Amino acid sequence: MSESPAVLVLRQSLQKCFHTVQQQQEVWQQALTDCKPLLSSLSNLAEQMQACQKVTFAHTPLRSFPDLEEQLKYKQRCAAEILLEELGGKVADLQKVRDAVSGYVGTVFQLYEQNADVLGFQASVQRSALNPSLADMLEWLHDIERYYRHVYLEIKLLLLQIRYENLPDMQTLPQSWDRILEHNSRNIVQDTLLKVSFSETL
Amino acid sequence: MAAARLQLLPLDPGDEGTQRCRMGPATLSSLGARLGAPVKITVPGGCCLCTAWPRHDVTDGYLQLDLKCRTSGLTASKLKSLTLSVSHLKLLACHPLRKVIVKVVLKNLALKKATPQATLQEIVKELLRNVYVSLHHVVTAAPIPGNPVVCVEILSVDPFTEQAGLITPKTNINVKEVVTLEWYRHLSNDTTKISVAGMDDLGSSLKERIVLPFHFPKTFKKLGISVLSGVLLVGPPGVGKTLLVKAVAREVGAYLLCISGPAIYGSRPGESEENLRRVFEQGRELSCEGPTILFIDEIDSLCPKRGSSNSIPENRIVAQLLTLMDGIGSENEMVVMAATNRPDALDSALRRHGRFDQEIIIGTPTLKQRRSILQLITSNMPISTDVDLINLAEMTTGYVGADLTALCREAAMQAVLRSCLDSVHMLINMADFHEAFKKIQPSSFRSSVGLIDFKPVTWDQIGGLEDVKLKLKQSIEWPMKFPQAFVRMGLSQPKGILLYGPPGCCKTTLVKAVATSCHCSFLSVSGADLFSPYVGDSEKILSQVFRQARAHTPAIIFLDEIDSILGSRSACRTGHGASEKVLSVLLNELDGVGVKVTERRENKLQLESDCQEQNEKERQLEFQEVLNKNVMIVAATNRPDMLDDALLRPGRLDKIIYIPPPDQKGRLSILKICTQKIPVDSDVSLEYLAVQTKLFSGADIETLCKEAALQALQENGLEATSVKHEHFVKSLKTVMPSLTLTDLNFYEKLFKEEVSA
Repeated sequence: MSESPAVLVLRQSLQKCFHTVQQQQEVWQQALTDCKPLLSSLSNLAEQMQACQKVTFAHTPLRSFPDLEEQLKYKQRCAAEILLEELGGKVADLQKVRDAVSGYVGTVFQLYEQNADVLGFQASVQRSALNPSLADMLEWLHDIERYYRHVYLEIKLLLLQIRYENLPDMQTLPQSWDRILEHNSRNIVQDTLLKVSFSETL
Repeated sequence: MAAARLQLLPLDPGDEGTQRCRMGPATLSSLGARLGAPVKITVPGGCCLCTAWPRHDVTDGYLQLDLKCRTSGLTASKLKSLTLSVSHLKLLACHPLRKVIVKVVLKNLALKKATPQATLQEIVKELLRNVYVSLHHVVTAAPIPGNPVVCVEILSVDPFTEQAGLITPKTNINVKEVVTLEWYRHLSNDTTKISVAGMDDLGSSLKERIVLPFHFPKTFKKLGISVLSGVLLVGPPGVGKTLLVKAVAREVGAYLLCISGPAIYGSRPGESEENLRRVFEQGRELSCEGPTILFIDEIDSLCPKRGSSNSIPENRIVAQLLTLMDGIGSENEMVVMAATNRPDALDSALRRHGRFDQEIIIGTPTLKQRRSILQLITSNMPISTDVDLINLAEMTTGYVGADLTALCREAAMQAVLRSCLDSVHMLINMADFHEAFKKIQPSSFRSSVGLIDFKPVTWDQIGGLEDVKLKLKQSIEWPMKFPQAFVRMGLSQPKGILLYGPPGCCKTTLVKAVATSCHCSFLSVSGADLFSPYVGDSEKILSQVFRQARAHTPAIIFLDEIDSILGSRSACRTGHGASEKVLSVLLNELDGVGVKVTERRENKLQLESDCQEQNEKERQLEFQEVLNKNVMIVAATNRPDMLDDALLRPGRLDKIIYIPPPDQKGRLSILKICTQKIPVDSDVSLEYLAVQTKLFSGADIETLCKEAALQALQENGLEATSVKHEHFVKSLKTVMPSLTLTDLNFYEKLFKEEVSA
């Protein structure tokens, strides 16, 4: 197979890019799994807070403790804040992944733009039994980058909706979280990595 | 070129929201596009910006596109089964953008209130990341649960480019405006202006009142002016109340929320009130975003007088409306407008300040208004040069805007029928308008009492009576035709004219001639129209006739045999007969304090402040406008002694004209007119007949001629061709004059008395 040097260069950089995506994907998954327990604790906390709101302390044996209610609420609030802070850290991790991936994808595309004229159009859509075409691979990279952006935005919007005034919603946080992940269950990143793993081994 | 045509296919689900368009390699290479290069695709109804990608199956001749970034009018439904060519695609150069200014459209008002500015900024930044945009394109946001943003419109880009711009993480995004989806739809909907003619002053004052409080809220607050809350438009049907509101709303970009009675009424008890509350709530929400007009058309159906109707649900609706009207104004800038043609039927509680602050009366259009309405309607019609709009406006007294539109439509139809059906160069000429004029009656005249159809009579068709004709012309025709002369001489128009004289001397025919010669509304009222078995009905009908006449000035009301309609208060015995009440109504209508407010036409201010720099024609029109405010009464009787004195005093029937029986010269001319259609033999001497027919009235002479013709038929059989002198002599023996000398003396004496008095 006679391939022009431009194609080879691009292929190499694509390979490198997919490698880093694989690494980033591990970080991403890790962050996602870390989020899960945080969210369920947050939901528990929300349930407690709601219970605290419902009960009238004056009617319980606890009435002998002065300003128990305020203190309890303060404690719950502090715990929630800590959890939220941790969650924020995880989200920052996700953001880092997203930024890193889009950075790599951007550089690959730059490289393609530089070589596009040399490459010729035919070469970029040419597929073989062993290799997917350059166009396909570039498209996959795009898809991966978009996937990260999309999920990140979805998670961010979910967390933005957390309000102390809206405790029932806060209780359903783990379910909403699962729904997001389920919704994006067709994990483009994994699929794509599998697709290219074959060519990488070559 | 292999693929000149591109068939548009639906998008693959995986490509949704990716801003990609898929095309064949041949198309790609013919465009010279690299992978992912921005391409502008122009389709009917708009254009959209995509990135170019090859199809997976690498086939040509198809195009799939994602509408993520497109112009606002474009929808997916417009793209079904379209075929495009390569020329519809255009490769754009791409520049990374430094700064974009955007308008964000949110799902609803609650989200708009709940989302802080900083969060919104962040979300928009995320949404727009790595998206290619172009000026005035709309970027649709991905449907993520919890995403308040529906779409983002690009208002401006920096550096300015007609080409595509790429929004990078470094691009500064400036959210200039935040609107809700509903409002955005309203704004982007059709913005064509609705034009209304003849109501410029009303329109502009309404516009001011709606817009100013919204644009300068601080000034208004400082001045302590509360915002205008309600405007009630009153006017007869068809004058353009609804159109005015629509035009004003369109012009100021206000959201027009319409309420109609049937939509409000519900079957369950309380449902109607609930509907009403909901509409007001909706209006209140909308008014947070921009000027909103709540328009209640035909408010009389929704808000009738509470006392008169006994149904409780209706009363509850009225009460609800009243409280809702009170509730607005305190927090926001919603303006309530209502239109009705029966203002008297409204509940009085509604017509006070704080509810409907302002009542605007739109009367039937005057001459000038009609002219401008006609100008507007005909502005986009092919009109030939012989069409004189001023003349047309003069002819169409009593026509409202809807009637004028119908008139023009009919004229256009006439033009179509006249010329061959599909000729392109079609012109509507004056004859078409005249033809249409015969068919289109003013709508307010449809239910009129005194409207009659009569055969036009010209002055020439009346023999003799030259001085009477002159007097009539002086008092009726001149003021209408030469108003400036009257104004110059300080003359005022007579209000009423009484024609009296012996029967058969063509009083009625004279009035017909008057009506024919000056183009004005002509209403004829007789006893049969007026009297009815119900108490008060006659008076009501008479005042209705006057009201209609006032709406259609210039107008002549003709009261034939006025003595039988009215009678005299002094001559009759006492008692409260219907005729007396009718008389009092007539006296009031003729010389009352003023007219009802609801009958006002044109704005007062406009009449008072005439501009000087109008051309001659304009001023002439103006004169006519002012002078023709009045309605003229023409009454005819042969029993003038029976009339009430109050009716005969100046200011009411101030001009009294005696119509004498024809003298010899008059008889001759009547004979000439009567024998025009009869084939008269050469031996007939009309002069001789004129001498012989002393004390004959016009009607008698006509009978004489007919009799003579019949005689001729009798004698010579049905083949008779001419009427000979002997026939006239014979018929002179049978036809007796209907006038007597005593009668004439009576009339003449009365006439002299009048003069001396």
